[in-house]
Amino acid sequence: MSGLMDVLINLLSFLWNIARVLVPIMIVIEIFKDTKLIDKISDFLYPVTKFFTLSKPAGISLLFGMFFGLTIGAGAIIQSVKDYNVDKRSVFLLSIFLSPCHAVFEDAFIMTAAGASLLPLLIARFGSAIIAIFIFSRVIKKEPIDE
Amino acid sequence: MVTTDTFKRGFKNGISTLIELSKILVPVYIGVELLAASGLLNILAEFFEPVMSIFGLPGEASLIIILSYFLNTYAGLGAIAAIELNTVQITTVAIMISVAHSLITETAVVKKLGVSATASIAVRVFFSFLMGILYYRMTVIL
Repeated sequence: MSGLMDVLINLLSFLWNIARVLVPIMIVIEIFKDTKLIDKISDFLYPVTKFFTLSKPAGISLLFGMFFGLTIGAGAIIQSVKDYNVDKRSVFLLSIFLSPCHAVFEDAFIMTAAGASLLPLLIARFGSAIIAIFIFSRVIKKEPIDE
Repeated sequence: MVTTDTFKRGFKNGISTLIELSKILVPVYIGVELLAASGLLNILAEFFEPVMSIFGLPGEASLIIILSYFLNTYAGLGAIAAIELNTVQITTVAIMISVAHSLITETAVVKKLGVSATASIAVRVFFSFLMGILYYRMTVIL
């Protein structure tokens, strides 16, 4: 019977740990949205998007996906394709970047609540995405690709 | 503009995410405990032991990776809570499932953008394994 209690206590404390991280993170994300901080960061990051041969509006979609997750990122990409005529090649590169690297901070903080170390997690995800997009951006020529 | 509404929305999102998370995490957690009690987890662990040892993980951790790849990270978290791991092992497995997870549903999203599913999955699984090995190797060296 004490085994069952242990299981229950373990589970509850695990959920509590996650709640403690999740709620503040969600508030920070809302603050980010409301202050339009994303737009400012994207100006700041322009040299980076340029290095990966992406256009500036593509960079905004990238940031959205990185912060808010793949579904929102994909939504932002679809919108930016409509609004700014983002080319197919950029969309492909964005997706390759966002595949391993989306909702990075939210995920990372939840994992930390489960007992993981933060820094290696962030490095691994950004590292994967950066290496992947670098390789593809050099391999795929700057012309519409047939996917 | 940051108003009290911003905080309210953040709080609400946090709680609703926690509820969504619990819906998956709790059943998986109980499921893994049952698997362990029935001895089935041991069989699975023995089978995957050789592969998992590459990442410095016990065989049981294969369940975390399988659940995350096919379902999502929340299911993986439920299994992490139920399986005994040290900090390095939790970080290793967290890296692996952060890079590649929900491969079925998320690949559907990527496909909506007109990107090949194979490219997306290949990149994710490749880096999931690579980063897992790299992190483990680095902790051994340091």
